Amino acid sequence: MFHRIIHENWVAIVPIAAFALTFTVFIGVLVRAVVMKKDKREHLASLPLDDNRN
Amino acid sequence: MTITYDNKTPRQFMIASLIWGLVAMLVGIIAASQLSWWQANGKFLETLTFGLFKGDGVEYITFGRLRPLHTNAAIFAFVGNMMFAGIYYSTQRLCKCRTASDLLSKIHFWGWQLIILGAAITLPLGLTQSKEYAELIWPLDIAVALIWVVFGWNFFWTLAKRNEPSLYVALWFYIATIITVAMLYIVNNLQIPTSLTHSYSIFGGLQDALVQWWYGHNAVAFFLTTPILGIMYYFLPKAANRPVYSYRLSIVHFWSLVFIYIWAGPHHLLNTALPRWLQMLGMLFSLMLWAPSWGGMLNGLLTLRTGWAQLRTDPVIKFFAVGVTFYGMATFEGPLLAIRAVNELSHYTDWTIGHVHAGTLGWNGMMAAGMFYWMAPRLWKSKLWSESWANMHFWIALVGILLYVGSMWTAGILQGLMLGELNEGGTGLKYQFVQTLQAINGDGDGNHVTIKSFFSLYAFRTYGGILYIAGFIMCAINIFMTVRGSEPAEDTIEVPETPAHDTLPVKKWFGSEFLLYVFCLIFFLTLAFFLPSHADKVAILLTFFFTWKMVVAFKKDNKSWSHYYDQLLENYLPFTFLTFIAVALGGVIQIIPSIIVNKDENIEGRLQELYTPLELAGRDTYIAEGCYNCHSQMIRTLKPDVMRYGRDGIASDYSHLGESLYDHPFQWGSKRTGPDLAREGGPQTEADPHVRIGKRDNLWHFNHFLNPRQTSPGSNMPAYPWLFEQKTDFKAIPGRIKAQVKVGVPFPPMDKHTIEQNAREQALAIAKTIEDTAYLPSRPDLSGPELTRYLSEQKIISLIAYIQKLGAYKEQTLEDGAKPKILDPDTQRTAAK
Repeated sequence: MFHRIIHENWVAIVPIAAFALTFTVFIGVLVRAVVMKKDKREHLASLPLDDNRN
Repeated sequence: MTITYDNKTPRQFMIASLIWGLVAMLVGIIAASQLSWWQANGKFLETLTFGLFKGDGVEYITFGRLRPLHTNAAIFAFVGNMMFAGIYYSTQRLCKCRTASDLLSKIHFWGWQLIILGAAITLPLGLTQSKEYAELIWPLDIAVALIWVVFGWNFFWTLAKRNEPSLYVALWFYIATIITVAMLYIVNNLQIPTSLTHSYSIFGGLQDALVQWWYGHNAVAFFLTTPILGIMYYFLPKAANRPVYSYRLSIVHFWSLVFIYIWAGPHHLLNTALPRWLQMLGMLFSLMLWAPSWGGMLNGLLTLRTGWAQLRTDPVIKFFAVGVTFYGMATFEGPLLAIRAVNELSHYTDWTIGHVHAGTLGWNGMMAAGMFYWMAPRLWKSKLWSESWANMHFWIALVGILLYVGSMWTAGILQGLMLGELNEGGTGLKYQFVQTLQAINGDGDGNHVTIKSFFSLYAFRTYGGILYIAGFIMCAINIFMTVRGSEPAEDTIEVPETPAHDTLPVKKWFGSEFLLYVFCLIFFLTLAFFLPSHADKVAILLTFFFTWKMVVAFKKDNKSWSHYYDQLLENYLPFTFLTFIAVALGGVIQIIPSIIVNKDENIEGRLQELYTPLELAGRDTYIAEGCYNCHSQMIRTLKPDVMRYGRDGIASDYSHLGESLYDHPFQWGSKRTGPDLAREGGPQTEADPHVRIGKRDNLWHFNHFLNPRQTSPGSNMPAYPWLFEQKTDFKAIPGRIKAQVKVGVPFPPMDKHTIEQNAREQALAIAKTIEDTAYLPSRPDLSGPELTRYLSEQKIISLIAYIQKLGAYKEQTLEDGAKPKILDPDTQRTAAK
């Protein structure tokens, strides 16, 4: 199959495929970020400040 | 449990960063001034020593040798040490444990400094691989890899020992940095040594260009960006004393950035012989980078949302706020420059130089200063010596950056526009290359320092650099005064019982059925590209099958997927593995097809002629002198490029892919301070195959290297008098040809004696052509055959042999049409016709 990568019109295919792949990853991560529990989120966000309190 | 943090290592790295930062900036200022005044390449020593030193230049401080020293020092010494200081400081506190091994920290620190010292010695000596930001010779490359492993080992060991189960987002960025830099550095530096200080890259031509810019672009991404983002996510909340604006946004920022960044490398090769699909891929992913980069910038700036008043009073916040703003500006400009149409104008000009300095001076430099001002009083338990000095540093540095970047933008756009401007009839180009240089460098013949040159765009770049280093000197003094007389402080904390973490066994790394099918899907889709006929169809069928399984798995039990992801945040090994997959994917898809197909048997059309032994020796001199820093060897598929550098009457005379196939390493270049050299040479003469007919004759080149302004008035190129006094190493050529054969260059079988004799014969033949006309000021006693014999031994003749070879190719036709055809940017154009 490989030689067809060279011959075929990848200008049209590659951007769409790449965008689709990236968009899928982006949506997956976005969903994970949105559904993250509040207490977990707040705990993680406060980690750099822990030793300020010590 | 009582924990005492290791503060010594961050202290050491911080001091090292301050010292090497000054060195990097000083070398940068010298290099900048060399572009304005060629006398800064060594001639100025005549004045400084009241005539004791005589000469037009000093080989160790020419622009071609100093520029790599400047970039390596800025990236690996200044930012590298700064980043290690930040990582060692923050990782311990985020993990609530001391760094795993003090010994490894010590080896890391001293090993890194020795490598930098090695670079500072070898680069001015002309010992280089010529791959940008990867110039170091192979023994230093091995040292870098080993020390990086020590760093990674210590870091991951610390993660394993941590007393805080959750991995904060800064640690994610550090993980991505460690594994990606290791991957990039090792792959890009695969090479065959010919001696202790010399080697050839195993990649050639297009392959090398692609691998190099996959590395080069991501050196910016994963050495200058991701670790500093980790530092931003740790130090900015600490300085502002409030959590990051949105932890959710930081998650999206991390994964999007890590996934997208690695694909964008080909945007450094737009409009070149790189296949168009790769160019489109590079451009597209660069544009997509806008989103995560700006997400990160906004997250940083909005962390200050209720504390803007601190901007007026706290220098640390001031540096961080402007650093993050520069991150946003540079990451806006980067994708803009990656648009092919914009790149036509900007590439090879100073616009790109302005862009990278907005990043390093603005983003890295300002973040470094903010971090140092925050850390120093805490690491020595003292108070910052002078906030006024810190404020003054801020303003001087900011004005310096703006002066630098503004002048470079103007110079780049001006030169880019002039280079593309046609004459009134539209039949030719309006300006000679040197005229475009004079427009940004002050006119004049270049022989003398003129008043006007002090008001040129290049001069203002130097002034910007001087202001920036002045601010940085104030920073170094301020830190010195802050720590003077203070005892180094140790921080001790009490840590409660540690909850369990890193409990996910290896067999459950793909514990989610859903994720397992995602990987299978990607694996078989990738295989489908490479498998032969029919097998590829099976792979595609399997891809569909696993897509279906993935959907079913997600529908059936999406809770286990959520659970799996949450576990990742407390299990660093599977997290690291996933990050590796994300960064490796882009490289594999881009690079492997080119490595497989880009071979001479697949080339149809122009195929590079092999170098003669003498030409190869000359090429090594070209590389050692760093000529690639100012001259490209790539005529882009653009009309102004072809009109300027192509030959009259020859159609499509841009650089074709096959013309640099045997170049290990490639020499396409990234900046044109001088003109492109891809068509400088020509074919062999019928009378003597040792002599070639290039664009200019041998005497022109002889005089040009002796005094560039004699042949090109207005040029800012240094003179190279030492090339007329140093001998070509004929004995080394057989070993170098042997290494070239190993990396795939089809040299015919030759014994050592034949190679050396061939090189000497060609050198004599070339020297003979200038016997009656050349005058060598350093040896006025030589003339006639005596001069010929003398010159034939010198590097100048082998370098002329190489220059006269550039652009020589033969036409190749393929009989078997079934074989893969040439990867060429005009594939689309031909198809359209």
